[in-house]
Amino acid sequence: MTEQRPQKEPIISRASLREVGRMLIPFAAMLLDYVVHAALPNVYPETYTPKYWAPCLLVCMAVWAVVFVASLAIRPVRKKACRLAWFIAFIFVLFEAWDVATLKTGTLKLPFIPSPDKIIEQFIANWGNIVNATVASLSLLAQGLAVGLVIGFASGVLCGCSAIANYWVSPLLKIVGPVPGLIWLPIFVIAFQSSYAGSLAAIVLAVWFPMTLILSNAIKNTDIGLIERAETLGASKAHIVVHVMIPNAVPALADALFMSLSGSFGALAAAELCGVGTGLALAVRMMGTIANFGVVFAYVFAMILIFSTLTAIMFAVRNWLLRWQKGLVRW
Amino acid sequence: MVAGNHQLIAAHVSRWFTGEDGVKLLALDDFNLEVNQGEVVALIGPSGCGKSTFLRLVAGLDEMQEGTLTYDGDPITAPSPNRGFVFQQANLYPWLTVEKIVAFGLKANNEYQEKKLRVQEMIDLMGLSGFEKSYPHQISGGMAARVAIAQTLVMDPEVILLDEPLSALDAFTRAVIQDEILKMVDRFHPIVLLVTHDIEEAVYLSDRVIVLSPRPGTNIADIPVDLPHPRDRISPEFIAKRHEVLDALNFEEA
Ligand SMILES: Nc1ncnc2c1ncn2[C@@H]1O[C@H](COP(=O)(O)OP(=O)(O)OP(=O)(O)O)[C@@H](O)[C@H]1O
Ligand SMILES: [Mg+2]
Repeated sequence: MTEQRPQKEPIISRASLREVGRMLIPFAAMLLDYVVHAALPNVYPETYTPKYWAPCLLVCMAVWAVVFVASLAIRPVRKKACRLAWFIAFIFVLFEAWDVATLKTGTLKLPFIPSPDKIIEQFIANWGNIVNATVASLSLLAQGLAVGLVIGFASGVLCGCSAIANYWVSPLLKIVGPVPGLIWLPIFVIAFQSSYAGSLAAIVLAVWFPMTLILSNAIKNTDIGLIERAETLGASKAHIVVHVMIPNAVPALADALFMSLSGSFGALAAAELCGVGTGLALAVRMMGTIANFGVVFAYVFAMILIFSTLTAIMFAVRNWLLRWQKGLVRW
Repeated sequence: MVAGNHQLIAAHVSRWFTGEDGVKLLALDDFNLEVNQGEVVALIGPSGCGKSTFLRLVAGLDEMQEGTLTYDGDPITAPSPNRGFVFQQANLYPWLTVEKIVAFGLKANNEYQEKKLRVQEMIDLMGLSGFEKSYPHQISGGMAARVAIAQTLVMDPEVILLDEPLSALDAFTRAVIQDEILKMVDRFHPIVLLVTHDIEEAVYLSDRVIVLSPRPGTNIADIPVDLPHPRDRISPEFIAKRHEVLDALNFEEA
């Protein structure tokens, strides 16, 4: 009874011609952007001379060149690059359409829709403020996430395996949880006598709720067969919780993480607008009210960057946690 | 077949389930069994007659309403690594590799450091070498069944409960594992309760074949299989035994 050993795919391998072709697509799009941007005259606003969009495109090309070279040999990088190729190209075509619609033709007008070049200019001009706001946002978010996830994980596990804990926590979950953080915020600020602590509490709540709800349900629903198997092997209750119930709940944990993260973003924005008085969301609104839309877009981009980076990290964690799952949809 | 001092006794065991509508479903009715150390006892009976129910009681996973169930004189009240159970479904932990699944019981009992070598030994014995690092979804159903057997046997249990463990295997692999079970019985003299629908398997492996009636299950026949090992599956004596068991299973005519 000998069966073939499973084979592992090597990390280093050569790219096929087809893959190389696919990875060239973003270059084509960036080049197209560059040519169109250079060829068409700048008409709107008349006095504006673009300085940033062309160098920015060159930087993007350089970055993609590094990825391209790396992916010629490194298989995981290549897989990712090939997957993203069409999408990246599409984004760059959109950017150029935007450039054409604003700077090149004036179809979309200032002050509401600035050109890409204008946004980059504003980004550079307001760099210090953007960094400060980003740091303020991130630090509040990180604290809220850390506290919320730890408490949420603990209460999720506890409610999942203890009927008594479930009895006392589940009403709280049902009453407090579904109400958005924005509503709790003023109450928390009064209760904690501090807008910072109140804001933090609102974020913690937004993170805690989905984590506890999803995790405790997943743990409660552990297949009895898996538990009984551990029991007949002499595992204690605690051992079963740690080595059967929690690992079994990991797919749900990954979903919970995602829900918690998106909950935290909403609560963060609410907290910044109505609580702490710092951060990116507040900056966006303030700049919006004085109609400085170039800066607004710059702040919005900073926010998109932060949220999507955090989401990407979360998905990487999820994929790593679920590496044992069959046919997992990897985002 | 060395008769040792460990003993499993079931006396007048009855187990019923009460449904949502309050209707009593009698699964086992006054079931009796006495098994000594080193004995392999096969339980055979129609589907739904309470074989799995009985094994679950012996494992300590379930409680009966009437009767007594003792191991070495002590009532069975809870599961113990001493009584290993190979379930009808493999139920492997999908997040663990084969190697870690087999080591699960040892780790849970803090015996892993001393008995590390047993893990590899069981993996090799079950023909799983090379798949130590595979996850359950990467192995076949027959291999999963063998992992489940390895996971239970690695604990060297005194009582081994096998609930149709080989039904997912091809004829050849099944014969190999059957011989491994016999070797292990020879080495460790456990009590083995084997539930099977395969009369040939029952006659090949066991010292006694217990035939159960259709639900509610109760003893109908206790057929000793006094053929020497290794047994020749096509010898006239072997085939005569198969007929004897088959006859006992033919309730309609009885
Ligand atoms: N948890 C339960 N709740 C209600 N009824 C049950 C439960 N477990 C078993 N039964 C019933 O008890 C009877 C005996 O079931 P059991 O699983 O012991 O049969 P079995 O002899 O192992 O059958 P098979 O050979 O098909 O595995 C069946 O009628 C089954 O429906
Ligand atoms: Mg059964």
